[in-house]
Amino acid sequence: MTTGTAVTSWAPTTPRLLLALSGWAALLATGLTPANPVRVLVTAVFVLGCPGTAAMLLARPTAAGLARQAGPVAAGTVALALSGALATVTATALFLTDSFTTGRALLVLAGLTTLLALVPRRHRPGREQADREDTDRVGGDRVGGDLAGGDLAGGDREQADRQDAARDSARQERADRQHADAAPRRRPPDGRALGRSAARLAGAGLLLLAAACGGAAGRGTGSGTGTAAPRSPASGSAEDSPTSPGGGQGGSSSGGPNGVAAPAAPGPWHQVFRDDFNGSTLNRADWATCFDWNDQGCTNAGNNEQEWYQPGQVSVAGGALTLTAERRTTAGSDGNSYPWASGMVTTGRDSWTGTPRHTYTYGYYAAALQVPLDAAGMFPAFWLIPADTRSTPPELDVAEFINTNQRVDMNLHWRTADGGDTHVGQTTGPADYASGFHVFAMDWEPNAVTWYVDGVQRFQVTKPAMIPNVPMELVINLAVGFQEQPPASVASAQLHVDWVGVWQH
Amino acid sequence: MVDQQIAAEIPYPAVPAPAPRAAAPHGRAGLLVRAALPAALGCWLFALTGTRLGRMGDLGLLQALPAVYWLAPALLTVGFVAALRDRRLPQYWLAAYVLGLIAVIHATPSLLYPTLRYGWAWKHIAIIDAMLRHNGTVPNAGNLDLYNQWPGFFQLNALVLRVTGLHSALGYASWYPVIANVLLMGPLLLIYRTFTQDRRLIWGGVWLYFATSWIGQDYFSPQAFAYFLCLTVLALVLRQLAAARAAAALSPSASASASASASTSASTSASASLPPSPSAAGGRPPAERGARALSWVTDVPARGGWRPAPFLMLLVLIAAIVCSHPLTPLMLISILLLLALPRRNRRVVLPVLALATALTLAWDATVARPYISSNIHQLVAALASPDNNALPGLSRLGTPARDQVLASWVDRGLTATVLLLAAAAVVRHRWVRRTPLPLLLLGPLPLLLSNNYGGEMVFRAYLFALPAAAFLTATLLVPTGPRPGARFVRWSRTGVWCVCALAMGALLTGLYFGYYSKETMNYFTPQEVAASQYVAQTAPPGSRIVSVTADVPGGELRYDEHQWVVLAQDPLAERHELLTDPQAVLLSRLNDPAVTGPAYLILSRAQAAECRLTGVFPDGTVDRVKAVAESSPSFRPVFGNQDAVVYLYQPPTLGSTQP
Repeated sequence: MTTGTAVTSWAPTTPRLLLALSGWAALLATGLTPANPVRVLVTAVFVLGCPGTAAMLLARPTAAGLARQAGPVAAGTVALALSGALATVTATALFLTDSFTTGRALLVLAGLTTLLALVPRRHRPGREQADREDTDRVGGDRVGGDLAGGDLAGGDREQADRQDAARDSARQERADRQHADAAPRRRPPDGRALGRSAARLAGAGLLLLAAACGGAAGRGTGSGTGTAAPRSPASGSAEDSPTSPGGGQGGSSSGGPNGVAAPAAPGPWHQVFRDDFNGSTLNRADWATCFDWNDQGCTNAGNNEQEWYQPGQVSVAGGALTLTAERRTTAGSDGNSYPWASGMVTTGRDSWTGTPRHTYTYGYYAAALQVPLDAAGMFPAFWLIPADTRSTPPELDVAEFINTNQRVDMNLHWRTADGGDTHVGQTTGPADYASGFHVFAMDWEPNAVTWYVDGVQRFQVTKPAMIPNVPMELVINLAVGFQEQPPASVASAQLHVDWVGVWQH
Repeated sequence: MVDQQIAAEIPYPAVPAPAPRAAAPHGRAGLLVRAALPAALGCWLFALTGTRLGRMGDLGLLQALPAVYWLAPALLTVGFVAALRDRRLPQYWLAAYVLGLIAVIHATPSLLYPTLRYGWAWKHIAIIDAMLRHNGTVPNAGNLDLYNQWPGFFQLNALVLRVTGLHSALGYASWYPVIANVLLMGPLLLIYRTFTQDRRLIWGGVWLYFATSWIGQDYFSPQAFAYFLCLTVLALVLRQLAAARAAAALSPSASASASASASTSASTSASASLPPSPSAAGGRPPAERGARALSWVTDVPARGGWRPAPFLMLLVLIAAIVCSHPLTPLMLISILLLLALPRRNRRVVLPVLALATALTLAWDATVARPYISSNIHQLVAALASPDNNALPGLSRLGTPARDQVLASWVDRGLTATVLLLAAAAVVRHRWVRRTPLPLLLLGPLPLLLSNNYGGEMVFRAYLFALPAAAFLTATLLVPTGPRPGARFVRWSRTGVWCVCALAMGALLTGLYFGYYSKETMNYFTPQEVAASQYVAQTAPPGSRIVSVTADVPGGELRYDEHQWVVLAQDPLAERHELLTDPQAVLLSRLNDPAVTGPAYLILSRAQAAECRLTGVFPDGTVDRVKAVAESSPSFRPVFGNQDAVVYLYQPPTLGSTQP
């Protein structure tokens, strides 16, 4: 039953060692495909059984005593109740603080289980003599204790000071073995203050919990369900917690091109497109500067916009792409005169008959944008247009800022049965999107489209009938005069783009 | 596990193997015990193949099950009582019979129904689904925001689904009633074993608990989960109380005599846990009857009360209760309050009571503050009118089905019988009065008077009093006298055991009326499920869904995107209007300018059944609403089958903006 033999070093018994390892096994198992029977078995057994069993090993009345007095069935039920309660409290705390990921939850529970299973404990002597005599007299008790969980029969336990860990645990092992042999020998009493060791235990638990919460983000399980932090193809930085808006993804440009990459959606992912705009000119192999109907410039006439897009309004400098709108009357090739000249980029083509540079079906689309300070009359957007029809719907709007820099619109347009354009959307904010770079992202899957702002899920559409399934081009543009004119005092506006990335499974 | 338990329970070296000769009189009984269980399970499984769910009428499953089904509970009762009587039979037979009873009662719907049973279970599925989609708190939850404030159970399930990678809780939710009841055996055994070592009383109490627990709060729900945790907390508290008593008996002054008596009691218990003698049953406290006194002593710190580690365990358990369900912590506090009344209990109970109160207050003042603050007036008003709280009251516009009225009288009769038997046991047995049992029985009473919990409080109070009530009933029904000597005495004892079996059978019959009679509306056909799934999947965000009653499987699905209007939950005046002018009511609810998306009307078999059974609307109301929809050009049927139909209401025009 026991494996510990060395007197000088502390070694846990096999059941306790298994218990300590169970959580890490569960964490590993989440790497298997969702609903894989092995994964279901290992994780469910761990979450619903192991933390409580480990806690019972530590807490006197429910270990051997409970098994002896009420039977292992009752003791086992208490272990289940405790496990359920620990998992409930952990999940609730993580969900309520918006920090739940599969990896994090399992890490907390696994750490707690390991701590509870491996913390040195020892017999409390004194009254135990009476206990032991009673045990010996009644006879069958030992059987109950042994069966209840390997070394549970050790009887009364409490946590020990770390200083004494080695000595105590060796003693513990001896005592366990002695007890298993029903040897009536005793250990000398120890009058150390219980409260102090309990406080140390609590402190260690808190530290472990904090470490787990802090370090778990990078240990994502890539499980394909839930919001486990995915493995980042571009950077493995553990600080890039996808669900913490204050992390590398949000805030100012301090994140840099490599500090901000992990898709917030469940992976695994590999990156298929990336531009950090680190050069001094726009990479024309990746980007066109007009819609597909480019004819010496273009506009979006369907929206009655006031700008004519010109390549000269697009610049790359200082590690970012800048689209500049200027109040400058411009003659369009369509015969109209436009009061504003502005810039846009797209992965589409140079003309109606050209070939698009990059098109994607499904995937994770993200860009770090800093929208204009003067928002009125401006309509910066990051969106996707079908490559084949060169028109919408369908249309996926990752982020639209219509005359605001405080609120972001996320929209999905689809074609109804009668050919009309219908859309669903969500607005999120307020937040100061003009103050620095913010990451706007969208996970486009066959059965769901999910929007993220600074790594936080903000909107989701899950009706497959509404979700486009055609190749699309990326567009980032700064439109002017949609629904409202810029005030006369405003003569220019700029949209900055720190980076753009596309990931696919 | 069961084997091991028996090994621990019956110290086998001291129990002589029954000599063949001596075993002869018990041979028949032993055979009965060994044969009845497989026979009962065989009858049950055979009956399941012959069940016609379509035959469910106003008495639900009672009408659908073939006659052979009823042999199963009858055989189980007879076999269990025989097993109870035969003290030399291994205890796992008793456990097996209780498990058999749980299976026959609770696994029957799980095996028979192709879909998840009960609309509320579907609702909880929808909440887990929404919490998974939003990774926590669900925005735009409307009335269901309540669940954001007590999310423990749902988030436990979300955690399990995430780590296992399972898609939905639907797969295991159907089996939750079985799981929940099997789990309850643990705390019940723990609790009962603090009162006595007599296995007949312990297992009789466990059996009676499952034979009289008709409330049906064991479906996939936070309250079922919290109830299990709550009983576990109470079990640990009661165990600590018993340990404290044992320790007090062993105080230095008394230790010499006590250890002497303990060793005698240990050796008596070693001879196969003797039952209390009649005099013991009438007078001696149970603490003197077992071998447990000494083995418990070390659980109690020298100053009494709790050691830190077990107390931390209680903290975790109570925290999980507090964040999972609003009512259960109050029940726990109420019961602990009564347990703390006797001075000798206070060192153990008061710290737990303080802990439970502090955690509850802390939760209600923070996470659950929105609900508490918006309902505080109602809560206070309810406190002031105890007479309105105790009994369920529903304003009905129709008359409930006759058979349902009968079934509800049987329910009430069963409830009253169990409580009266429990009260009689308190009067009859003096030793019972020295245990915490009477306090446990009265525990839920303060809460019963303080809030009506939507008319359900009397049933919830029964549920929480039932562990004590079932054990007390067992002390009356289960014979515990010494082994009979003379033939005459043996025959009269047999008669007593027959009465015990009959009484248990009668109580079990009552349970079936309470538990199975409403199945016509608790069951959903796959067609009904298909209809509500259609709505959930096709209705765009912003849609409104209207139904006559709430008995729609998954009506709450995507409740963060859809608004569900249940006409039966309207104020009384509007419900009257539905009867007089259904078209006007329908149009006003469907053509609401506040609704941005399309509006759907869903009508189904279960809604019609709920109207007929409960009388919330007169029988036929669903058909009348359907006739209105069929005759109006504004309603276009978009989904239909024999059990459900979905209409899309087409408003004049829908504006849309194009960014």
